[in-house]
Formats: sequence, structure tokens, C-alpha cells
Amino acid sequence: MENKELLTHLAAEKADGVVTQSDSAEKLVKFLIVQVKDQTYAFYADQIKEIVMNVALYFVPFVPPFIRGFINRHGEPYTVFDLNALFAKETLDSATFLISNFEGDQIAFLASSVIEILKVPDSEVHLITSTDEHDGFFLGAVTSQGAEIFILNLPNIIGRLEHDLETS
Amino acid sequence: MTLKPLELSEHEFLILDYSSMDFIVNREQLFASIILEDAVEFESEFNYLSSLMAYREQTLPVFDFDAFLLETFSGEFEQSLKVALIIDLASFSEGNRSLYQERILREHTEFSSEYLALKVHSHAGIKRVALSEVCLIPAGLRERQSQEGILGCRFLAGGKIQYFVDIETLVFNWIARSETDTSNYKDFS
Repeated sequence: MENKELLTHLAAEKADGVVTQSDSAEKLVKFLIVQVKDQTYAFYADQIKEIVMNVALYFVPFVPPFIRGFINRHGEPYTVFDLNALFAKETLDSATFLISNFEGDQIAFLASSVIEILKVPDSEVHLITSTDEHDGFFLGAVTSQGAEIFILNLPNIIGRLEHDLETS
Repeated sequence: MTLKPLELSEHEFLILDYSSMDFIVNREQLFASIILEDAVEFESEFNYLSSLMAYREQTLPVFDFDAFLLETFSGEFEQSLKVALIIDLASFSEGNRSLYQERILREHTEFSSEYLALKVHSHAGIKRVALSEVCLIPAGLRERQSQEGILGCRFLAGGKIQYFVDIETLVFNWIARSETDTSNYKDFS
């Protein structure tokens, strides 16, 4: 593969997080698999740009319980979402933060740990369509080592904050 | 008048230094500050209005910023000498001055119509701060935080956070909510 082709390949991978093995091979989708207390979730890998640990979490008032505060990344505040507080109504005790690539806002997610980067064929990603409010937090599931892992729907999760602030 | 680039890039703030976090206030919102020695305790129906003081032969209501901090930010503060920040009501919006007239002055005709006071502790000082160091609140929370009087933040090298607060919004939220809602909108359950 020439450099030009390599660069095209790399650009495509950065653009959508999808790895193409070759023109004829099936696409691979990259996920970041994380543990949040006793649950495992999948982020599309291109949604997370950085993982940081053991940084200070700053309290912020007037927010829903699933917003745990701010962290400081390079002098800028990032709003920290606690997925366990959102899904299980119980705050997570951890200092591992996933910095998101979400456009238009500075958002981080609290996680217990990062398990792996998983590459799976596109055919093994099972997307769902549901109007159920809770299911709206998930896009579908992916299977890894026989276990089904829910794929997080970040726009809906982040949209929950807007909804809660509007109705509070 | 043409401002020099340096003057555009910096601004004077009052920095209120607490152990767990600091607050920075636009210097232009403050009229004066004096040691609070002879405040008289006062029972009030208004949030954080806890005492009275004399200033320029007038009686000023004194709102307790430390109590607001303790309740709202779960903060801690040392018992130290108290300072009164004098706020000139003329610097506030017409709507807020009307609210003050209706809610406070109608109930307490003895109060000054020119000034009010905020009680803070004495670890405070005026400093020039580079505006480039003050960050906006992240977009998803910006509007709500602004409505609550929190306009931005700044991170210090030692790891401490400084919240940039708007005194006018804080005070008038306290007054506006005294009769309708004393929860400070903290309950999202």
C-alpha cells in the first residue's frame, strides 16, 4: 500500500471510527469498552479523545445528580456525567474520566475502569430502534467474548441534561 | 478614550479566598468595603438577610455570602474577621431595582434605597486577572449557571477552582425566591 493510500485509510479511520481492512473485507467498528460499577458499556472509540485519571473533581451547584461537577483539562472546565447516577440512581466513586469529542460542549464521563478497545465486524453491531425513554440511552449492543455490551447513545444521554434543566 | 491592549486583556476582580474554592467578582459591582464590626442581628423572611449595619447615616441590610456559600457549594470557611462589601443599587438593572423596592423596601422602610451590604470573610483582595484565564461554563450548563449567577471559572496552578459570580444575580435570586421557593432549585429528583 502506498503512502497516499495509507493516508486515505488513516483519514477515513479518524473521520468515522470505522476501520476498513481492505476493499473486499468487512468493515471493523472500534469501540472503547468501559466498566461503570458492575455494568459494562461501549463507546464508539472516536467519541472519546482522552482518558485521564486522578484529577480533581470540582463541585457545581444547580445541576441534576448525574452531573458530578467539572474537571480541569488544559485549563478548560469539562462537565462530568456520572452514568451510574443516571442509570442506577447511585453515584459512582471513581477518578477515571473519559474526555469526549462531543461537538459544541466540553463533556467527560466518569467510569470505574477502561477494559479494552474492541474491534468488531460491522455485522456484529446490533442497532436498535426504540422510543422507550430509557432505551433511548442505548443505540444497540455489541457482542464480545459471548457477552452483550450496550452501546451508549451519547447525544441522548447529553440531551437528558438539557431536558432536566428545562423541566427543573 | 482608546484602551491599551494590556488593559483590554486584564480586568480587576475582587477575589474571595475560601479553603475549598474561591470566588471572583467584577470590581465594578462593588462600591466600597469596610470592616463589619457593629452589625445587628436581624430576623428576616428573606434568604441570607441576617443583619443590619450603619453606613453613611443609613441602615443597610446585610446579606450573608458565607451562608450562601456553605449551603450552595457545600463549602467551608474559617471563622475570621468579617467584611461588608457595599453594593450601590444604582449599578443594578432597573428591573432588579424595582424588585428590591417591592420586596425589601416596602417591608422595611428603614432600609437605605441606595446601598445594600454583603457579609464576607476577610480573606479577600482586589487583583488584576488576565481574561484569557477565565473560562466560560461548558455550553450545556452555561445558561442555567448564568441564571444562578455563576458566569465562569478559572483554575489556579495549585489545583483550586475560582468561580466567577455575578453579585446582582445572586442577591436578586435570593430576594425573588424568598417568598416562592427556598430550595434554591437544588432538588432535581
